[in-house]
Amino acid sequence: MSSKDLRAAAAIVGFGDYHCTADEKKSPLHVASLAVSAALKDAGLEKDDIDGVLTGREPSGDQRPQWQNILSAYLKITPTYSSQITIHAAGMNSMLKHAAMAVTAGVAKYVLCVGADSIAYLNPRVHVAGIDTDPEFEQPYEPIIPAIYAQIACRLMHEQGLTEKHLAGVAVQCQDWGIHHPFASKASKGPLTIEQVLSSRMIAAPLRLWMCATWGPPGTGGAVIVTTAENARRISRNPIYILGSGECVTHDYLSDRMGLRRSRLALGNLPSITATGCRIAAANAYEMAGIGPDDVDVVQTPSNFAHSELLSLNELGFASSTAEAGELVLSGETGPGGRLPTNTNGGWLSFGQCGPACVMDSVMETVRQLRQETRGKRVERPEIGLVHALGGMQACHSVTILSTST
Amino acid sequence: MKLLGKENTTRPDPVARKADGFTYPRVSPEALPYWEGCLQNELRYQRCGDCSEPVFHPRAVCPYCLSDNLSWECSEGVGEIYSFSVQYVALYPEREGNLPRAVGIVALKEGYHMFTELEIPVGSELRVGQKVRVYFDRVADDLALPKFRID
Ligand SMILES: [Zn+2]
Repeated sequence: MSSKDLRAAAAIVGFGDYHCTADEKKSPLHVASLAVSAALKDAGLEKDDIDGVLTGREPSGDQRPQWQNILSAYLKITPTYSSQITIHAAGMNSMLKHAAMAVTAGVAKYVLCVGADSIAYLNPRVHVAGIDTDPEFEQPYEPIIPAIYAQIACRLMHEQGLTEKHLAGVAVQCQDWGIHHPFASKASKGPLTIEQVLSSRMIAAPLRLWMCATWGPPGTGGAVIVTTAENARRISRNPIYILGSGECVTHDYLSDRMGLRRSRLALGNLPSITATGCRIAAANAYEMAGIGPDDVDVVQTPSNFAHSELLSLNELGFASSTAEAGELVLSGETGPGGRLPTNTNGGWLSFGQCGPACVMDSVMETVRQLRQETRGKRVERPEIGLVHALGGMQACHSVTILSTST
Repeated sequence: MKLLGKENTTRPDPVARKADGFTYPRVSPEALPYWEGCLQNELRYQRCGDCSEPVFHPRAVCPYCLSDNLSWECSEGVGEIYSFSVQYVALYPEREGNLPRAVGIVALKEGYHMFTELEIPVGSELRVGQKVRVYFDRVADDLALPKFRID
């Protein structure tokens, strides 16, 4: 048995999502419940049909561990297969793989996968720095998260010729999509130019304000229901097949990554912070799906910071360096009307990053594009969509490949 | 030693403790000699007696060969800048007066890396590859933070 046996063996038969408007305060359980209701309705299923429940990491705005249990109890669902899937936030993307494994093994019939958060009640700057930086060897120096990510950007500029203009190009591309989405946090700021990005204030050099994701929308939730492909064809008009999935974890805290001096995996010249687990996750997902980068029609990547998208485009196989990925972005190919539509809801940079649920937003946007039910700008009939999610400080990577056909 | 006092060992809080205007490290038992060394102006790290790799952050076992044959050594405290960022926003609003400040990763001569603060030189800029030397910032009676400046 190999992971290829899982190719197109399971499918999404229902999805639902909910986004809060700028002044709307709802708890993570509230937005999750609305997403679950919508997913059940979309699938034509009842709550009692659900026998599996997976959630991602506990929401920033709730913080109770074993959140799949909190949610199941809240909705009075009594699963016989359930867990929290967390490789930091990226686990939300990997939920699809875990659900596919469960339904194909016959352990569950319908697995509900949920990711949600709301940050209306938090001080995100301090909260995230508390989770994602080392409490012994980093936190005493009081870095903000942009200053941690900036270590990678600094190194990419040194090693690969990445420029500030490349970084600015990502912000412009995300905004070009985001202005069309009614829930994108930065949509109201209108179209953006390279010059505007490069004159925005410095946060943590080389990262300027427009190169850093905003916190928002204030609440976001997404839910999908996964069953076997065979069952999906029976009950759904428009199943979305899970073609491929891969993941890779290389570290937890960023500066401890420099202690990884060798690995069984091909992670480039170690130690380094400029090669991530995305390349491994992508290779595994492509192999399982039996496709390559040229077959992908629409892409969602992390863009918590501008260089994250360029790292992804490079390691997903769409460029041979982050600088080349930057040129691809500046050429317009990843924007509306381009050959490789990327971060089509505005991405984490312009849509916003609502705690770990930003990963669920990437999954939802892919499902919406494949089903041609987008809220923002629509890509012309994509058949294959790729979701790359990262968790932590480029620590955890998950790639999922979804398709309208087998 | 206050650093590993009752407060530190019994707190389940996953984050560092903020007190007296500073962020105290959440000191782990394995790393206590490191923090004690800082108070004596010594930059300590471990070396594995079996595979001879330098080990940092401090651990109970060598992460490369899983041996527990580790001993403490003293770094010369010199190395070069691997990466850095000048930070213009403070983690805590009350620390805005402490800006801008640079944080970065330094490659120590002994073959390991550490996260630290870098002193911003007057009249010039930090660069990747610059030679730096450690100094110990005695932020409180019971806490000295190793930081680096251009050598
Ligand atoms: Zn060893």
